[in-house]
Amino acid sequence: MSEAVAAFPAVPRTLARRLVPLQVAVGLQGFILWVAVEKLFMTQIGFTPRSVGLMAAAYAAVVPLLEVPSGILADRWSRNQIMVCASGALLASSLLGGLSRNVPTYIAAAMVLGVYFALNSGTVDSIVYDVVLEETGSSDQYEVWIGRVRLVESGAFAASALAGGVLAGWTSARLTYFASLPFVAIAIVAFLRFDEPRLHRAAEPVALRSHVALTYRTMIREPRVRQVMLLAALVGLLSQAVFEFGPLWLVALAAPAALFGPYWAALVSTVGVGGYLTSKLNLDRRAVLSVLALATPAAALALTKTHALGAVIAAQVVLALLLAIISIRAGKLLHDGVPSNLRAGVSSGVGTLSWLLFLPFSLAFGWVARAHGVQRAGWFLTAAALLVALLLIAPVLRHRPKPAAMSASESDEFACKALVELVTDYLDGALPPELKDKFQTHLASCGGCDEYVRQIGLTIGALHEADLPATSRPQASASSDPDLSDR
Amino acid sequence: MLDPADPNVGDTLAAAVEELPATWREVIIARDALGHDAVEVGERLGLTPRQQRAILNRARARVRERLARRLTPEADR
Repeated sequence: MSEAVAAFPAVPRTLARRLVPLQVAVGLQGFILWVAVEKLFMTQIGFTPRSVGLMAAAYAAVVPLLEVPSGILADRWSRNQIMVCASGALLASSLLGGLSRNVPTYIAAAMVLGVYFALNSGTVDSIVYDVVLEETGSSDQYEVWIGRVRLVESGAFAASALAGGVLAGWTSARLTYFASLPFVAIAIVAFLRFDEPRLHRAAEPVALRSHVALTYRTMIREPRVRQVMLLAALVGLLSQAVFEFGPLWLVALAAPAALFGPYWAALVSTVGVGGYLTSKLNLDRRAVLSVLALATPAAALALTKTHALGAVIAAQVVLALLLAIISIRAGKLLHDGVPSNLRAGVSSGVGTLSWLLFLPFSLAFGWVARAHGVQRAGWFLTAAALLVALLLIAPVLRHRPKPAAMSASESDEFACKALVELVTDYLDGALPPELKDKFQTHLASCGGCDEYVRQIGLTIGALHEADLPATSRPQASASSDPDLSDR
Repeated sequence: MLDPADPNVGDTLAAAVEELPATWREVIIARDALGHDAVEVGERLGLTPRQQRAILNRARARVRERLARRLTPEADR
């Protein structure tokens, strides 16, 4: 019980209030009426299966190329402005798509949509993570809040799909493109009203070249970051595979056409339901992680075994739901291991890696599915799901006390990091006795940490003596507590 | 050793505090510059004691880093 209280501490009022405009903006940005009727519209303006493939290729070429550069730009410049640019690209793409009367202009619109996805990728996650860090001092509540943002987003997807279908039925598919424009325009206003985090900008300015080098080095050389990136990318690949190839199972089992609508709605809603469940589950608990790690490959395995339509749909929905939860978990682990000024860049790297893995995966899947049936190809999903399970559970297994496996320098490094996080608790007398003993023992034996604590003491002393500019005091209290400024 | 009357130290300190996120700035000014009580600061800002300490710890670490980088030619950490 006390564990539950510790895992979900009270929400500071500024955190909830501050994230409102972001949730509004993400919701409006997700209200794209044309998505549900896109294929219909494309057929109307002359697309054939071959030109649909061409469009997918053009789209796939834009997104991975732009993701990391746009993430680095978000880290160096402003994440809010990147989201405004993303909305601008969505606006331009919807307009161009709606005006299209032939294949080439629509492909151009799809490439502009690719710019939107690349700018979007990893940016909202990074914003939410840093806002939580700024308002609570830790990332504990990240999963809760990103879960809520995902819930809003998927609610908007579902509502716009339904509304788009109705609108296209009443008027025309073309009109859904123009009807989406006002929602995106208001999203831009909401993004502009959002008080964005500043953690990524507080560090001293770094030259672009070394910033880019540092971002790539963090992704490639840091073993922990690398492992979490692979987990997140595999989860992305697997979710994409379920959404792209899942309907093939229904086709193979000759499911009635009427079933596809509810099936698709259930699949899409897992993103939001997963976000909601994540905010209720404590993913730091080993038991919860073990259930996720066991159930994910089991759900994928079921797809290779069963011929019952109901079981196939249930397995796919469960798999998509588990992946939605794991993707939030993987995002938190990734952000925990990366400093603020590299956050969006590294986070976008996951998207690129996922695309790169999905390409050969989908070719192999398609080949086996055509030659031996979709059930046989389901083994690819099972293999990827097993890998996800292993990567999810690996850090938990490693945390078990294994004195022989951990070298002295490794444990020292760990102790120094822990000490840095506990200095204020120590100085405030808030450490439990056994932790206080450990703290003092380490301090006595580590010159670096002793010097660090001394410098923190000097900093506190200097702050106490300093005559800080008077402007920062009233401004600071006025900005987050209007009640006080009236007194 | 660290003389706040030294204009270099004072300016660096002010700049370091100024560039902190609003909530961090408010906590560190209330606790370290004005010497307010931890419980009172936490209640005023709607923070749990743990959140208040976590924010103060991060804010102090940032300010220390800025001071160290400004005052020593080579940053020690």
